[in-house]
Amino acid sequence: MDPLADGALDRRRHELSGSWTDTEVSVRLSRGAGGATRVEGVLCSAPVWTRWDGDTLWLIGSGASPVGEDHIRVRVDVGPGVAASVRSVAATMVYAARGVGTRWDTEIHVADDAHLDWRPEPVILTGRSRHRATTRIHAGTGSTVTLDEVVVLGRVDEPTGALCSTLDVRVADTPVLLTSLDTTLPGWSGPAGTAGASVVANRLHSSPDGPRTGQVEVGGATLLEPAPTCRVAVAAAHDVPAARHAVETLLPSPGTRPAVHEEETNEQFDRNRTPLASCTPGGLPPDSDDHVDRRGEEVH
Amino acid sequence: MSLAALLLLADGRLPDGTHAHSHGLEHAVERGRVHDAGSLADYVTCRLWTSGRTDAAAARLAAAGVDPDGIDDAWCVRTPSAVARSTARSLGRSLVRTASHLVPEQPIARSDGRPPVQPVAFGLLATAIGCDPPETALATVHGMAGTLAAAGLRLLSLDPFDVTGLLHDLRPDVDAVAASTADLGGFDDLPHASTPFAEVDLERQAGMPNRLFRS
Amino acid sequence: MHRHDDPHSHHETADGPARARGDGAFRVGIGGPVGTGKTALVAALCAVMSDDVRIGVVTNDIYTTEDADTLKRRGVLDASRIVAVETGCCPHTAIREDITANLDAIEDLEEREGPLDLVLVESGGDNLTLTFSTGLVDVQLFVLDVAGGDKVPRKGGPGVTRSDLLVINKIDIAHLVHADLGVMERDAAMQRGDRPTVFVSLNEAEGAEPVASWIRSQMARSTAAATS
Repeated sequence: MDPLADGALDRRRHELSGSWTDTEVSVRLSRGAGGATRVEGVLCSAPVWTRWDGDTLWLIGSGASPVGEDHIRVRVDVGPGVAASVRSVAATMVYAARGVGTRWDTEIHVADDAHLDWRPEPVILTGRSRHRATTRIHAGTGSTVTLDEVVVLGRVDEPTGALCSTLDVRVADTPVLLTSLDTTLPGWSGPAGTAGASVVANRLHSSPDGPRTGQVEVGGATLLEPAPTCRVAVAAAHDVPAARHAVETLLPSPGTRPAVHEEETNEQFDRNRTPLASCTPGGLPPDSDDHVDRRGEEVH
Repeated sequence: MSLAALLLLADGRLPDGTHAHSHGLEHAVERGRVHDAGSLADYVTCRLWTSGRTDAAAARLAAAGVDPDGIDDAWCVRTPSAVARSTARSLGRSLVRTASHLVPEQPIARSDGRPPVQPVAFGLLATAIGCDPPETALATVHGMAGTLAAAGLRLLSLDPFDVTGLLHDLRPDVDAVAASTADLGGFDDLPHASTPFAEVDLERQAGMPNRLFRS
Repeated sequence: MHRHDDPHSHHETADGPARARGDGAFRVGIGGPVGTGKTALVAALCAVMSDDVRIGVVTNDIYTTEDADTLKRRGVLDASRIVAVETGCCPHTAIREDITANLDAIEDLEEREGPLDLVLVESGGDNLTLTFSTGLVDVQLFVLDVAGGDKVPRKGGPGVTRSDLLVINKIDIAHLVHADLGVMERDAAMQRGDRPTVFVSLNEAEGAEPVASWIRSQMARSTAAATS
């Protein structure tokens, strides 16, 4: 039977003409000869580009995505002994959903004795978004992982869309944390949920002997200890800086890396030394949630 | 199934240690987030659909004969607050004691000898006295609603008719949360939703110097 | 000083403890209204008994640790021998309807501090209806004071009528509050039948001697019952 016959043809046309994204970016960081970090994999796949600057992997959203039924998968493998940071150049806007809604799965493998500092910009849920996100972390023995999740519940004066975000952490193949935020549950915005806060932030810190500041609460934030090797700072706040300040106070970020500001980030990106892949950041915010303009092609 | 067993299990007078717990509500009251029957209802609703649902699922699986250690471990992985975990272990111990009087021939324990966490112990006690898994889930959710509402009544000196009215209005939620735990394949399927302020309340109440409730 | 001639006199519950006793310590409940001297009595008992009796204390306070902290400050007992139970606004529930938290506390105390001879369980201040579950304690004391008025024993209530020993405290200030000890003694006897009443002043630790002596006799009776 002709694979392009009947509905199959329509579907194929639909895919080719730029419908919802179903895509995966997969980056492997390993220690190469001479101690330099080798970067391999599918580094760019619209709408997500990555750029490695020597010690930081930058995630770059290239279009108005996720939107509709976009399904985006990002996988990062940090090889044994590698120390890496992951940042994003801008916040991720989640636009209006269609059908089953949008989905973003992140899978992170941190090998034994490797170190990952994963602190992207916030995820902003626009009014008609319906988004599912999962973050799975497989951390090896002796590894350290810092991971931020900052969610903005709606733009200014806009009711939030819906989010179900799951964090699944395993250390040495043993589950240590499985938790989710689900804004669709009854009472979620009430006094036991966000109590009207518009920003929710989590910082995970997994390490064999993580530093303890002794402080367990600040502002609307508190420190949780799912396991002896794993701590989570949880904050609900009215803006992103307050939420970030709270989690930073409870669980200071590793290293001395300066705080990332958007302008600096862009400059840094422009000055980028040796692009590993000829990705062009692109994409414009849509005029409306329904009209979507996409650019860029998959680059392998 | 035994309806009499279900009523016994769901009776707030069962000596299970819960009367001294508010599960963080006392801190929410202290901070003013819960201040009347309406905000109490919102608080209870949220807790039922998050930790309440996880508890109900764990109890239901335990009553259905699923490996209690596996459920216990999975429940702990889904409970990031160390205070919530130790509270559940302590309340589990109370249920082990209760069970040792009611069904001494069916001792309740983890294989390492520790008491199971409260929802698992509750499920094991439930099945031992003759409740089936759906009834066990219902009694779990009912118990959480009753514990939180009773704590709210004491903390805010509310009109008891308002608090009973609140529970009356929550009947569909109690039923729905319990029903939503059907069709779980095993402990890997335990729900895991949590919320920021529930965690904040649980942790911070433990640090309150002048608290009335153990949690 | 105590006015009752024989505080060791025979009464019902002392015939045999209601609680099925294992190898654990003898448990004494100490209840009574707020401010009558429960904590002072516990402190005084520790002071006069702890030389030869291994004592543990469990407090049930309104707030977590108020009474326990008072006892620890007084230094009458190692701080590790004193634990506090939180009661969720209902101190009487924690010692009567749902005693699980107190049983856990006693169990932990005995496990941690090794064998104990005596555990004093102090209730939160409550009203005249307060009684301890026989599942929690072997015998119970109820503490009143003269400052509450000499009519209190006449009012009765399970605390007054059913406690194994009624302790009437602060007799040194009876004349200041116009309390007639004779009236109190007569009314207590009327309410309590054969159950003993002692009159004490706990300003000095020695004031607790009659109570200590009564507890020792109860412990001996219990040991005899357990070994016979």
